[in-house]
Amino acid sequence: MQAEIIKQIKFGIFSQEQIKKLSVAKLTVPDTYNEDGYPIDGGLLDQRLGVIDPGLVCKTCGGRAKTCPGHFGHIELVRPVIHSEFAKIINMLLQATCQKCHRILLNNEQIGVFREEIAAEIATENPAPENNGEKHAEQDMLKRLKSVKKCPHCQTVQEKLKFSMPTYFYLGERRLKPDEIRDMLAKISDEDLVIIGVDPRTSRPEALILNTLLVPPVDVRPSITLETGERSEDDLTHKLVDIMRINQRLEQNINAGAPQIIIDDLWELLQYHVTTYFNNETSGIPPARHRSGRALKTIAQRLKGKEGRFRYNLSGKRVNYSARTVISVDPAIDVDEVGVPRAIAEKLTVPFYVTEWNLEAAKKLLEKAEYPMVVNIVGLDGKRKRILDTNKEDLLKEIKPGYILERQLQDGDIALFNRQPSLHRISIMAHRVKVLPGKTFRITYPATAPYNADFDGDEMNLHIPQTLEAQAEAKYLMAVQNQIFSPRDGNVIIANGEDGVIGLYLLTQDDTRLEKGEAECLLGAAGIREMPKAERDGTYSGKRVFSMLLPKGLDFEVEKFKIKNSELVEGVVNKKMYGSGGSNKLFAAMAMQCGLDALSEFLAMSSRLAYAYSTLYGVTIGVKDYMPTEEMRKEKEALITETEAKVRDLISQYKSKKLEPLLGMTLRQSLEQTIMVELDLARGKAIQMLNRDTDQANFAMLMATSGARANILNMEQMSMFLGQQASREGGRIKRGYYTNRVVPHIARNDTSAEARGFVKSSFLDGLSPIEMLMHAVGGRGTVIQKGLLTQRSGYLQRRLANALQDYYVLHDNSVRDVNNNVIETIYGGDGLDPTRVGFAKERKEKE
Amino acid sequence: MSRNDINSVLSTLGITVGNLPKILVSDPQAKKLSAKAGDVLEIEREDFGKAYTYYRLVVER
Repeated sequence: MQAEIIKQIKFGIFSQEQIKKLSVAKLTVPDTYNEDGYPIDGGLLDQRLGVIDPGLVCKTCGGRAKTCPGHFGHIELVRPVIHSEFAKIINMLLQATCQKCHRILLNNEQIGVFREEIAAEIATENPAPENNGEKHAEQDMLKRLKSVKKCPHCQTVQEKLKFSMPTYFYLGERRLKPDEIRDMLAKISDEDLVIIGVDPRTSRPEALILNTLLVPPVDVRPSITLETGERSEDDLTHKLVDIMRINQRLEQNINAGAPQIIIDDLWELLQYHVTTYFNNETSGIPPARHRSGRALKTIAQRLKGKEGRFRYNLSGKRVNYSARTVISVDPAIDVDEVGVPRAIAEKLTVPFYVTEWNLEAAKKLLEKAEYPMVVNIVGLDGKRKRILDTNKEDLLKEIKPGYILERQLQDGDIALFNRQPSLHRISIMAHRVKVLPGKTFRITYPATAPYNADFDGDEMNLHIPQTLEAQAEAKYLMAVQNQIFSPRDGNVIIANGEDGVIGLYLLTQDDTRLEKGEAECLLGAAGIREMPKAERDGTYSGKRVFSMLLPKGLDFEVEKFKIKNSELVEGVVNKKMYGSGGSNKLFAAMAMQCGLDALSEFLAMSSRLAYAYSTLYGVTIGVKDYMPTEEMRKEKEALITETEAKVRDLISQYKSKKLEPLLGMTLRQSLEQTIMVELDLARGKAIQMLNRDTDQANFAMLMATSGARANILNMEQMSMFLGQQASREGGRIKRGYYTNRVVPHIARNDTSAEARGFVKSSFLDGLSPIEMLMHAVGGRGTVIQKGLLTQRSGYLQRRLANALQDYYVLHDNSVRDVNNNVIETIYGGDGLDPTRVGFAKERKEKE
Repeated sequence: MSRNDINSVLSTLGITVGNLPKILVSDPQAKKLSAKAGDVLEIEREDFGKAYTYYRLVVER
């Protein structure tokens, strides 16, 4: 049967008659069970509303707990109450209609205009002109109806109608009771309702005032039996009991002829209970509470929010064949592998499709009784059976082509690995499974970048593709090797850093010589079982050892770095050619000449080599690496005094108007500009000093020059001086205290270096209180700016990605959408794949 | 573009006219060429040294 296509869904409001028709039972007793533990007839768990206890039979449909779908009942309220969730609409309706004749407060001419508009809307089948940015004309008009003073039909002067949340209406000073409101709403004609925008066929407004309350079946509010045998009712049942109790009291009081005040009080209490029954978070009233003091979870609370029916149950999709745990590093595995804990590997399964060619292998697999074994078997009928010791023998005989064996996960299987937020296509990549002891997923450092993961407690998800098609797609489209180059600009994303860089930087220095044993250890750690050619003195050069990792047939040359026939002949490995970013040309060359798999293998091996060598070498830093010598200290002092003098000089020049103004700037701006340049220059000089005087074996320096971590500026700020801080809107900081100075400790109109945020101390010396403030002001500025920027650009990026996600490049290199509309005749204007542009350049250069 | 040219473009792309990118008749460039609704404009573009051609269908609205 062809499934029907849903064209539209229309929501309406049940009238009193409809409720009664729908109801199978009128409920009268505000209780649940009698002393014998049986549901009371006419009570809230009346057996006509359906049954949930096993053994009982539904009095309406005759079904049992499993087969009875449940049936609605109703409560008749002795006094009507307002449906609080519709109070705003009731208010709108009352505002829009005459208080006497109940016609819409529009003259006949205006009515005509609206009729035409509505007809036009229906004709174009476009009932929502809002999506063009134009507001519904009706809504606009309705707002104005509030200010209509006199009814255009009966000329009655309109009294001021006041609405107060959640359910109070006043006409002038007098409070309107729900029954009065109902009568008013009932008198609005169907024709007028259409103009207001209400469809009278599905929703008559008087139904918004409740006379009968629909009671959901017990299946919606099941009671639970505690271990002690006590029954505990659902929150909704509790609330309904409250409503019925007050309803009953109200009835008794009315019948007894109680004074009006008492009746009104009870009426209002009834209104409160009905309001909280729909929404216990209605603003303006205290939430109804359980005996324990916990707020009740009523209808709106069941649906609303993250844990509500919509987001949690309907949109919240869950998948099988997946796992999640904490991640940690493992340099011993390959970049395209993922370490999977044994416990997870035993739970997850992969289908093994039995054919006539692998029948023997299948039988052998099925026979196994420990770890990589078959867990389930799917027969020709598609029924899944668990494999037990008891049925194994039979199954071994039964098995034939077409059967599917579900085998435990093992090394080499394809898995999709993902870390949220999945902002990227590379937030999900395909890895090869490597089953390992332990309880965490393991990835290599380079594979961390696309996921933006670290190991401070991050968790990640693993999914196992089940069909052969899915496995093939994952392997060939989503494999880690294929994501090394960014589809944005072709830059390298997956690469080494930190220890990985400094290790190779030290190893490939010109003078690195290794003993035989050392070289063996290093290559062994990397996973190489051969030795390079020794030098004449029996040692091994670092460059040669490194070259052992290079894939066969690689030639590469950039400035001061040369690989010839897979041998590093000149240059040192550093972040530039080996790390992530656009400056890495080595990877493109390697991928082009030796393939992506070779590149990925090189990445893993070279990391291991680097870690081994930095361990062997003993890479370490301490405060002493940042300690300037006495001479440097003196020179720094001199530099600062000199700079300060220069700034003072500039200021005096400015004061005597001798300062040469810069192009397009006022004298004031020119002064600021030249001072800033001067101060920046001082920092530049300090960096030069550091570069000149620091020992080459200084690890802080080595980190900066190799690009492993930090840069020379960080070092300068620690050992020399901080320099200009707190740049606000491009200029130096000048405000904070009320007379245009940063703090009261600075003289008025002092524009010297120190007064405007120049810090002379280094982090090693420690900062003076004022310097500390200047630093903090700057720090806060950057943090706030960064936060704002990432938030905005992140959202922009997300919107863009969502808008473009279904576009694809067709085989003729044109970009299409799902309806085959042409977006671009040629992708990017040149039809080039950015991830391969590096390869193309590489080829061109070779030719 | 002539009918013939349009048809050959459409058949190479394997689409109908409706699948082409659109341009409004009221667009200043379309006005300059005094294009009518239903015409297809052939546009030679040069972006960042990449020269390529694409097409826009002139539409009323």
